[in-house]
Amino acid sequence: MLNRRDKRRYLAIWNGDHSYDQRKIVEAISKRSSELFGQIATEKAKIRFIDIDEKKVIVIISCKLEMLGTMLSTIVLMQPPIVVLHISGTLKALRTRMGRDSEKLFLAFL
Amino acid sequence: MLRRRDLCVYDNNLEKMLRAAEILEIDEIGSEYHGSAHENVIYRLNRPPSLITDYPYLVVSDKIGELSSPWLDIFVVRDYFRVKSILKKKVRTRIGLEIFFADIRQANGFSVGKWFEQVRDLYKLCNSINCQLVLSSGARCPREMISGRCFDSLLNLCNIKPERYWRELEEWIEIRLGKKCYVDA
Repeated sequence: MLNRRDKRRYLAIWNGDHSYDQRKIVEAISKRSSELFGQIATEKAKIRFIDIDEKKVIVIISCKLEMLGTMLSTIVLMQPPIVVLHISGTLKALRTRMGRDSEKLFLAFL
Repeated sequence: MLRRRDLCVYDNNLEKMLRAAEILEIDEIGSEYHGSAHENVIYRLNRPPSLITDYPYLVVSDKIGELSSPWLDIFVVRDYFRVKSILKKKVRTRIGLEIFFADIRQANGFSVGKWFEQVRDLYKLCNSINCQLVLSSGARCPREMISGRCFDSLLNLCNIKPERYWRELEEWIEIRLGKKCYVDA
């Protein structure tokens, strides 16, 4: 049987100064993406809010792999600025990495 | 292995910027000199120092009158269309022409589209006059920095192959720093 599931990538984003409301961050990225790349590209990316960490500073979102480049470019061009910390193909790997680097992250970004 | 570099970040807390760079997979950053030298930093100076330094540096200017100066390593392009014709006539070969992503964060979609077209044009110009295009974040704090993967996406958007860009930038930096007289600490 064919595997019809979309390949997705999970992105950990630093939102330490709470420039964006935790759930509205996807809305803000979609809005900027539509402005820069158009509605079709934005819809194609299927951006989803996944999770937020306990301290509410790292937001995890996902998007389709084929539109990852577009999403990364969009995030760089956001105002107020947000940073893509890590990207992973699985949520588990991303969370493991975030856990491992959490001390470094807080020292660098807070 | 390619080393990614963001040659312009501004912050007094360089250690914090270096920590952020490590997380974001940026191997080397460029910053202003504040009296002490750090590893993995290339310093940006307005004028060549009169004494031998113990740190690597590049001399940077955004003043059009200094474009032909023999000591200039990087010219910061603020308004490409205004300086395009002057660049073609006056620029010395092998200098870096730098452009900041920070300049377009607040711009609307129309201006961002125009800006990327300017970068594509500037890249062609750099290839034709034997100069190095330098794309930098222009970040003023860690959260304005750009990760290595994001840089690659932006380069693709400018029709520049990331591997080629990072390799050429590395070679160019080696040549520029090789000409300087500084003591490797």
